Amino acid sequence: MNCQRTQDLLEFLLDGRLQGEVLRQVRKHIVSCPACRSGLSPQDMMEILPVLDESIEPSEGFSPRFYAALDGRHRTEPGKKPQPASSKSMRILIWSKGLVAAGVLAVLVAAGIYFRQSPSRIPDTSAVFYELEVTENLAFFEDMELIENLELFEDLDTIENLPQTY
Amino acid sequence: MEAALYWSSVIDMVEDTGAEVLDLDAQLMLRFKNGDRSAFDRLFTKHTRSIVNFAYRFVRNREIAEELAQEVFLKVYENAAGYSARAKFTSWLYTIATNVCLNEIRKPQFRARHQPLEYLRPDGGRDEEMKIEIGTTVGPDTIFERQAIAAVIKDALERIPEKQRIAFILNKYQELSYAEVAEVLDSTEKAVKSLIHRAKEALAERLQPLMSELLPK
Repeated sequence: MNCQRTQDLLEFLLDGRLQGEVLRQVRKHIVSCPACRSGLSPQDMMEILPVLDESIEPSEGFSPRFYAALDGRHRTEPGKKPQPASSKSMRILIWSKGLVAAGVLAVLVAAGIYFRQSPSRIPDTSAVFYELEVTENLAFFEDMELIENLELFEDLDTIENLPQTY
Repeated sequence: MEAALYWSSVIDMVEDTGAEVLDLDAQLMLRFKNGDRSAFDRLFTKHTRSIVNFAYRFVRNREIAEELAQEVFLKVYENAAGYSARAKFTSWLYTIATNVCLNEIRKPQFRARHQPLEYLRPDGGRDEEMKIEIGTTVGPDTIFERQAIAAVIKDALERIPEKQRIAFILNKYQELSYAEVAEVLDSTEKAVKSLIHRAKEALAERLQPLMSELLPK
């Protein structure tokens, strides 16, 4: 890159319309050429900051580390659709499995609590059944009472039918 | 006639730069979306350096920058289904990268371990092996000089508002167009130009007194 070419491209640089190798060459030339940068304002000079700043190369281990992490999370066969773990159907399947497991756990816990209750806490139903039986046979019991007190009733009858002596 | 041809070639060069690249990226992403893992590998290889350096602008630490870049590419892999060819691939990629980097620098522990400018020592206390773009032979003094310059720039960048800094880095360092930066920031081109203009003003205010020392005479 020479001074003439740099001056020609300066307008593009300041408009933010240069990219790639051309941009880098123009910036480098401005950094190394006091004549070309003499006409630039302090704000325009900020265009060359990326050349002055440091840049790094990814370490050699970056790529293998990334693919190890990727394979750890997604064991996708080449040619098959990617992102299996994040696909909608997979998410629904994972959710439904979780729900089934939670349901089974809840049933087991409830059963455990139920069977651990002492027998005294289970209501005694024999009295209830007795009362039910009494209610159903009430007429019979009334008749029984009448029979048992028949003598008394007969006496009462006799008393009522006594001749009046006064 | 010669001048016209020259300008035509310059304009073609300017317009072509990026346009073809973006189309190719979008095609690769769509191929990956349809199950072609090799398309993802090509995108990864092509953008690794840019994304590692983008993250490095925020954290200034190689290990953390690589961790963040790894996270970015994992997200690209996992969210491929959500990629739409309507969005330029670079805009989509840098939207993910920007979110990942901002999440990192907003963490309280990041602020705690963040090294101030004074930390830089002449005996070299940094783990970064820098790539020197100007000059061919580099001695220890030059490396230290470069580190000092980088530290001054880093300090100046950190002092400007976050949105201005992101817009400036995306446009000047990552070479995204105004339209692409606007897409990343979910803003307009006009707003992005304004952000970059203000960033340049703020940076010039801080760096102008040092520029004569930073640049070769």
